[in-house]
Amino acid sequence: MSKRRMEENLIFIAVAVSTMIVVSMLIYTAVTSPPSESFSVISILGPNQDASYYVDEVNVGETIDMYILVENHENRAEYYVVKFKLGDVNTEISDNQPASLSTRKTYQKILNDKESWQFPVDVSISERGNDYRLIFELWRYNENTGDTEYTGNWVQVWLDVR
Amino acid sequence: MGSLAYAESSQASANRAINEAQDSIYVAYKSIAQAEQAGGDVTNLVDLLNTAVSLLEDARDSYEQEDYSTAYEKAVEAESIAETVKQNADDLQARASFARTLQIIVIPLAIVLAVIFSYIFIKRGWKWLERKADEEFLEMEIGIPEEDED
Repeated sequence: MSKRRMEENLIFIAVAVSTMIVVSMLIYTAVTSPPSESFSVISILGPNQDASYYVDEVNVGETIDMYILVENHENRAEYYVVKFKLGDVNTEISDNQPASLSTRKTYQKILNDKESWQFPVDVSISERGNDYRLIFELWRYNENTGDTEYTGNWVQVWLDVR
Repeated sequence: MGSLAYAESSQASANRAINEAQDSIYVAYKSIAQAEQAGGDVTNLVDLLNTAVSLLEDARDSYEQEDYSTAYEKAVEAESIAETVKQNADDLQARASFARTLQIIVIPLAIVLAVIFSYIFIKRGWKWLERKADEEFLEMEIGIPEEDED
């Protein structure tokens, strides 16, 4: 084999190997690229279905005019459960610990990734009082443990009932 | 006495049906999660399972209102939908897993073939260009400029 032909072959082999390396790296990057940040959101909306105004006083037995909005950004379908609890100034709740109160009502729905779910809160309070706390905790079903778990997300509205 | 026993039986049946429906929904959701992880599009299955979730909520509402027969009917319907969803999700998972396995085999194979063919084409093309250049060189005529006779 002449020296020139040998050089040609070497160049072709080098090009072929380089192409394979580049393509392999591109595939590896595409396959192993980390998913975007995952999180869930729960928020309360007022009667206008936005955050501009909230009811802070209702009559006994009157249905409270507000909405709950849940958003799924977990990069997968999630089975959400919203638990409504009625608390007061002494109720303790945090991102790690849900309120140790009985659940008055639950709402559940499975959301695809990037999907949101808005629903009216059809609850009422049967006793007069001030500084009621309407607490909505966001839970999700964990298919691996077979239990619903607290996401650490919660929202509340303070309310007087006359 | 008989009607009381019937009411208790009806309540127990409704309660059992509600619990079974909830369990079936959880199982169906697990299948959906696995199908999605395998790369399947679960959007329609999620919508269908939400129908079962909604029926289950209706069943619970009916149960609270002591309408046990309606609660039972809705819970049974919810369970039936959840079982259908589970079946479809399992099928989807199998298809998605197969497609992914195929991808793992086909993509590297395609890359290797592409490189081999590129190598062959470039080499042949190079040779063709060389040959053409040689031919042009050989076809070149040596011309001697004519001298002026003057």
